[in-house]
Amino acid sequence: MRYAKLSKADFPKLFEALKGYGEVFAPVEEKGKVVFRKVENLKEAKLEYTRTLLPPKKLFLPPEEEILSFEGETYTEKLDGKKAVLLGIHACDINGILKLDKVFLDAPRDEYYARRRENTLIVGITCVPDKYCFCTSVGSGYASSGFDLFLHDLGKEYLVRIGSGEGYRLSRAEYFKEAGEAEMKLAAKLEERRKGRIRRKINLAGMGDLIETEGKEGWEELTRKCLACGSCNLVCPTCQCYDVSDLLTLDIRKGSRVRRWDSCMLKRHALVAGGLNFRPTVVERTLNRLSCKVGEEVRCVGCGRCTVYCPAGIDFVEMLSAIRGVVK
Amino acid sequence: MNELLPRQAKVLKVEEQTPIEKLIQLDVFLNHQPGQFIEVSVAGVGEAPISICSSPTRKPTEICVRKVGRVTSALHRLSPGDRVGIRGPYGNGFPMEKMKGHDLILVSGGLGMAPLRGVLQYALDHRKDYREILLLYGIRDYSLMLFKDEIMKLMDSQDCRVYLSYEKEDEVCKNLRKKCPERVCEGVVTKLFGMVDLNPDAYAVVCGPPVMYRFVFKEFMDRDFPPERIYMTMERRMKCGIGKCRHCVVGAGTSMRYVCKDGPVFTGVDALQIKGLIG
Repeated sequence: MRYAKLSKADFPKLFEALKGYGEVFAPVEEKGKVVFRKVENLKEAKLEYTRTLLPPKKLFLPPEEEILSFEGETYTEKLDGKKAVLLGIHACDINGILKLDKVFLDAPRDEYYARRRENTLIVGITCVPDKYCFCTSVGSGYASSGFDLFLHDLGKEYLVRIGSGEGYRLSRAEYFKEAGEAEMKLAAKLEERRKGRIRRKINLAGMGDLIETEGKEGWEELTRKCLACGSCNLVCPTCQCYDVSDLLTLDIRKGSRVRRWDSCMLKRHALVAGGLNFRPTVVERTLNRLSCKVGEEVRCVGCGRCTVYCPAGIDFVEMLSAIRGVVK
Repeated sequence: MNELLPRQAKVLKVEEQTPIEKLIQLDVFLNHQPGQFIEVSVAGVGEAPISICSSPTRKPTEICVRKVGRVTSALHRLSPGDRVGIRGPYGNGFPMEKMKGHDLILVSGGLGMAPLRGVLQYALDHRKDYREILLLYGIRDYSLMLFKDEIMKLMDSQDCRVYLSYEKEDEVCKNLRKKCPERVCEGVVTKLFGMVDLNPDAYAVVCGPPVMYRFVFKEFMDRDFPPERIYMTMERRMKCGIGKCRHCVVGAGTSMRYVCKDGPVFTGVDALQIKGLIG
């Protein structure tokens, strides 16, 4: 890894350079929540924050997008080639994007997602953890790749890790300075301190088997409070489910094919034409969701969003811990 | 290439098979495996996964569509010359090469005959490559029998041994049973297992309504038929067809599969390992 340092006083210069690349999206405080939004100047951004409401995946897989337009039976693809910068994204969310990459960039790749990924620069930043974070238990507390630049806050300046060719070109500007041993040591120390603040732990060893063998009564108890509203899916950085529908203009000659985020906790998720539902109960849908997140592989990045934003107060970590407890 | 962009296919012929099922011929060559499916689009209505019911050895490509939802109702309204959008073929299909040199036991219930017809046509077109071909077909009554002419012709042929079960007796079924009591009976498709000897060296190919698999699988297991030689094709909500949208996912814990990408054909061993695959 190549390193550089950037004084905070020079950050506006980097910001201008990023703006020169494309539209800049950064965390912004809105009605007491932090959200990723387009910003025009650095002052709008809130770079010290805990977690955004929606994960940054919304920039690559928008909550709703037109994928095709049609006239008669002729379909035309609607591909986006806009350049963008995602500034101020945390390690957990970068790891979330890498997990989504595996889904959408693996053959056959999703062109919509792939184009946006290729056209977006990612500038990571160190986070401010709270009691809901457990990224260090799921191996996503640190981003080893998946960014162009990563900024480690050292107080008056940043230690910058350079993760790509584009990042390297940006770092050749005169306001980037060479990083010395002192900055490296300080960054390592602060990094240890940051990780130390992440107290929440979860043991996922053998979790897939535990989920599979959990009994009916256990599941009913675990899901008793669940409203099956799908909020956990909407805020999850690695949820990939989408649904597709056709919308027609009033003259019914033209229209568009639209895809939207879907949620595996909603009742209709596994419903097929004819009325058969393969996951009709909340228990079955929860079993599916947990299997997807931590069963076969760990797709959870420990951001804590599903717990923080669950209207029923269901705690993801407590739920999985209970499964371990119940079966043991 | 944008995998979500359908290409156009012209409808050549639309033929009523039963009061609820139509056979649609499409002017497109897919070079598919029997058991694979395509995503069929009707612009403005939507897209649905439909299994290909013809063999790649025959032209044109055919799909058999039961009218159950919005897209399939729109497909039923098609006329020759109309166009639909298609993507695919998707999924793994049946291992036709691997099964060469062996007996084939085809077990189908209702609309499950559609994907198996592709297997049957393929095997008949490579008749020397396969040994005995058995078809166990369960129908509600004669009016709902698919590919009537083809099946009736096969009943009289030496190429394939057809066994037929029906749930509701009508004139045609009654006469068939009288004519051929050792191959035709009243009841569900599992009843036919009492009429056949299962060669453990055979391969079984199964397709039917979701509820059928558990019972058919049990028949095979009760007769010590090796589960790794059973191939079953599954129905799920395969919205994208390429393993992204995750609606068709099956299993739990450590064994999760996409029906669209890892299937739709699964083995009996998969059925033992993947929770909920066959109910």
